[in-house]
Amino acid sequence: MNTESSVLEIRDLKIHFDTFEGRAQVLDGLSLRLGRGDTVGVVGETGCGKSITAKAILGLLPVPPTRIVSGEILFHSQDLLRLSEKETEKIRGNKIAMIFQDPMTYLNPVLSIEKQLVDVILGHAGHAGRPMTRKESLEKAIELLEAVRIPNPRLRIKEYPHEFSGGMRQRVLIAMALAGDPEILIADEPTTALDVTIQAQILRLIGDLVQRFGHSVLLISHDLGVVASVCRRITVMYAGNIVESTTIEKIFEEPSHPYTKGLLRSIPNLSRRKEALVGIKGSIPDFIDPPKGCRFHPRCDYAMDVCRQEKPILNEIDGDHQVACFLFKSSWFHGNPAKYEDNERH
Amino acid sequence: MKQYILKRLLLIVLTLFGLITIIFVISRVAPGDPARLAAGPDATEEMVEVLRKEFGLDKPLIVQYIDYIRGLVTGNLGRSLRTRHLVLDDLIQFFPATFELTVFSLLLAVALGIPLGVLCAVYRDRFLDHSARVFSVSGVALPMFWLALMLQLFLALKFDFLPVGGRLGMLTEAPRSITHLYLIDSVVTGNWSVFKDALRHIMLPAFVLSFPALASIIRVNRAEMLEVLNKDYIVNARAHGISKVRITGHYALKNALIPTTTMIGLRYGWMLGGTILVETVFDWPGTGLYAVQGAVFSDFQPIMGVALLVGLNFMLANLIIDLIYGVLDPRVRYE
Amino acid sequence: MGERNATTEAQPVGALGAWAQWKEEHESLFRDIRLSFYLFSKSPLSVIGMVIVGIFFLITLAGPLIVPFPEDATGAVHMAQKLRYPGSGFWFGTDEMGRDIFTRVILGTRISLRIGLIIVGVAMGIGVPLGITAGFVGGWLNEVIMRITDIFLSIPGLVLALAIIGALGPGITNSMIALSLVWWPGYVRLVQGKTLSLKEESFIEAARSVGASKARIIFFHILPNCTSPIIVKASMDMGMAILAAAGLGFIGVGAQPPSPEWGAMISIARNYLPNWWWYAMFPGLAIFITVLGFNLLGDGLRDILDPQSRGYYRE
Repeated sequence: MNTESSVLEIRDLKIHFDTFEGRAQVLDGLSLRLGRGDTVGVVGETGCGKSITAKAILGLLPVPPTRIVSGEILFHSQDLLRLSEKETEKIRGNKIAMIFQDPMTYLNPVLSIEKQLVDVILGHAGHAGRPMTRKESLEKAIELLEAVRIPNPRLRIKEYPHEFSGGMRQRVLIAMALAGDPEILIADEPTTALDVTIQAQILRLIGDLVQRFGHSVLLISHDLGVVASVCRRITVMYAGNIVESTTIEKIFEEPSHPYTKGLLRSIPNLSRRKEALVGIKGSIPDFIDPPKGCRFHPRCDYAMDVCRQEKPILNEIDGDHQVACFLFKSSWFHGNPAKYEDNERH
Repeated sequence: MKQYILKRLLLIVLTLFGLITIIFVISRVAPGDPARLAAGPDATEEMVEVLRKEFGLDKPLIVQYIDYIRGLVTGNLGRSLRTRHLVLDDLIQFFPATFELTVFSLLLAVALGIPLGVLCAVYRDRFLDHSARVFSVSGVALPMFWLALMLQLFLALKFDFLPVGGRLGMLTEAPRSITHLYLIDSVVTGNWSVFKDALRHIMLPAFVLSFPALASIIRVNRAEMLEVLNKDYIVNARAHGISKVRITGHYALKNALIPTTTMIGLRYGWMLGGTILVETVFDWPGTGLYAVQGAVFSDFQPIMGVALLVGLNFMLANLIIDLIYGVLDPRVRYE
Repeated sequence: MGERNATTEAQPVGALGAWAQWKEEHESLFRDIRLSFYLFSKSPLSVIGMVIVGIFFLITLAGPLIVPFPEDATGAVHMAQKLRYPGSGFWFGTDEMGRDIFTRVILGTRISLRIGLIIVGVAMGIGVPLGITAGFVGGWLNEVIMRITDIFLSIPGLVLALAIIGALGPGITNSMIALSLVWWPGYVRLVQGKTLSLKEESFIEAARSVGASKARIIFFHILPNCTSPIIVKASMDMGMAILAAAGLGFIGVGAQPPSPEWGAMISIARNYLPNWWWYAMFPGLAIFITVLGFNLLGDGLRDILDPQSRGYYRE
């Protein structure tokens, strides 16, 4: 995967959070790449920092108590972290759009669907320098509702969020995200708050839309199954770091990072009877006092001395397969970022 | 909708009856002799007896109660010992002054309070927010009558910026009565000098009356705005590029106004009660002053009349507030 | 955590050991208390409120011992010193009977405290049991109680108090009765609402399923969960009750002269404006600071005890 075609690149992002009990070092040098037309899933357990990463991209984190310590988020080689509020507003929804998790709380309860959609559409039109009339934006809003398969859109658009079901509301959120014809869609746990049957519908919808319109997608979830149904690549996140990144096929065939292996093992398999449920021993680390070296080492069956002292960095072990683990000799370079560049050129 | 309003109006009437019953029970159950109180400390036994007969206080409790209710239904609220007029006539005479004062004060509190609350939330912890916070906290604790006296002292008595009291200057003639509200009537009849005079006279009492309400509204609106601005749907709106101004002024405010409206309703009630104090200090010829004079003279009928009027006023205001909820919050609309 | 294995760890014995073990078991309670103090101290206004209320209580206790002219609080008359400007000897000046205003203001705290405590105490004493009964028993009893409560709340407090005083006659006792009747409905609403929502909680169901008696449920489960909002409301109400009583005193239907109640003092002082302005100013200042203190304290308590509530009951 070469740098030139990447639409979004997060480099070495470090984000800390001030809390009552101290400073939580949530993201600790996170690096991620999204290429044009890629569909990448970000998988990790609750609390590993996935949502924070997504919100950081659009500048939605409240600045105290959040501190963006270092790193870059490059969108077409523009660092999003260095943009002013006004410039960021132009990007939000327009170039990079987000689909949020809980359709119950992410829609304004006192405004009609029409109002909320039309506002977004008019805003984007204004930013793009092609202002629309209300009538035109209403038509576009109805089109969007049709695209997300809401029945009777002309009627239902006048209604309020509490009159819609959970699945329908999520479709409205998706419609909102499509309103600005964005290049990138970031979906933050889009199905977690929905029933299982609705989940499947929504995922199918997202998959179809992506095929139709060709967005680059970052799909965040704690559920491997959800990610597998939409994405071609998968990134595994643990405690604020990316630990493995590869294609969907390879992650199931050759999971390499011990955490990934643990995740896959813990998925209950209904066809294999009489098997005890396997979990990963231990629990996620305290961000305020994180483990030295590799953050996973306290839970890792293969932990070595170096793991307790140095932090492994993502490195290519195979074509299109990167892992951050000292088990793979190519990661054995004592965490020096300069050496990372070095390795790239080979 | 019409059904809802009718139901509420019926409830208001029933509540007023309940109120009368309760006051009646309290007044008759309590120790003390109303006739003697009304006659005053210098009255002879005969005078007390005459008063007792005149006010039907020698009849059994139930009869007195029924008489009062019957009188109420026909519009007879009794007669004031002090003014010798029918209480109803007195109320009609004094009500417009109080109505003008309370409505003006309410508008003042709301028109200033809501924007200030929003600004305090947006510019959180800056100078404006801190000073408003100090104001809000002290505003509710400040005794209205004391504030009234202090302002009267410094602005009117010592430095003659504003009038000491009354609705109009001694030499000013009241405008032609259309609504009996001097501010409106003088504008409608094009009488600008009277308007100015009426405005100057209402300034101090209205400011004092609105003070605690203003303090509360700023506080609540600020708190609600802060809470709403943290909500997920605001994050969503930001994530889709809606401008900060629109988010604050529309997306957030509409939600924050819902609890703020509750506070406005509550504070209006305290305002109605506060007329008792403020009208006394400023000699404002309204129902509050009328009630206080009644209380000082142990003249019960006027007090009862004012209480019922204020109760009606307050309950109608609450009805309007509930209707406003329907406008603001679509979730309560189809109850 | 698993069981403590007493044989593998060196345990202090006897009373010290029991104390250490109790501390361990109540670790989370201590953490809560520490967090509460931390949060409370974070708000300087709350601390100020607490200080003011503390000083208020101190003054009520020590009042008669520290004032220069204790006899001025009751009927003393010193016409030679009447209406003196504040200065040495008479820090707040003197009133129309030559009495030291500073003394009267200080001793007025006792009256205000008494008024506040009685009003809030009686209101709680009536309102809380009625509220729990209404919420717990439900049905027609709940309807009746709540409708009566609604009637009391249908009219602004000060007006209702005036009407009741009109029926009873003026005086400080009657004004306390009137204001207690004005304040009790607020507690009924608060407690009834809390009881209703607690009733639905699963721990109540659990208690009932193991056979806990109604009384036990009320006293051990419902009441403790109500104490936080009640405490918050009571501290806010103290201030407001004192304010209302002063208002009634100002009109002339509350405390009567020569009682050094602040409202009554201002009512007389009104006749001596503008020349002898200090007479009206200092008692009013005392009311303001006292009420402010209780309000700030109540706010601070609410932030740590009951952060979800927004205080939209009769303030």
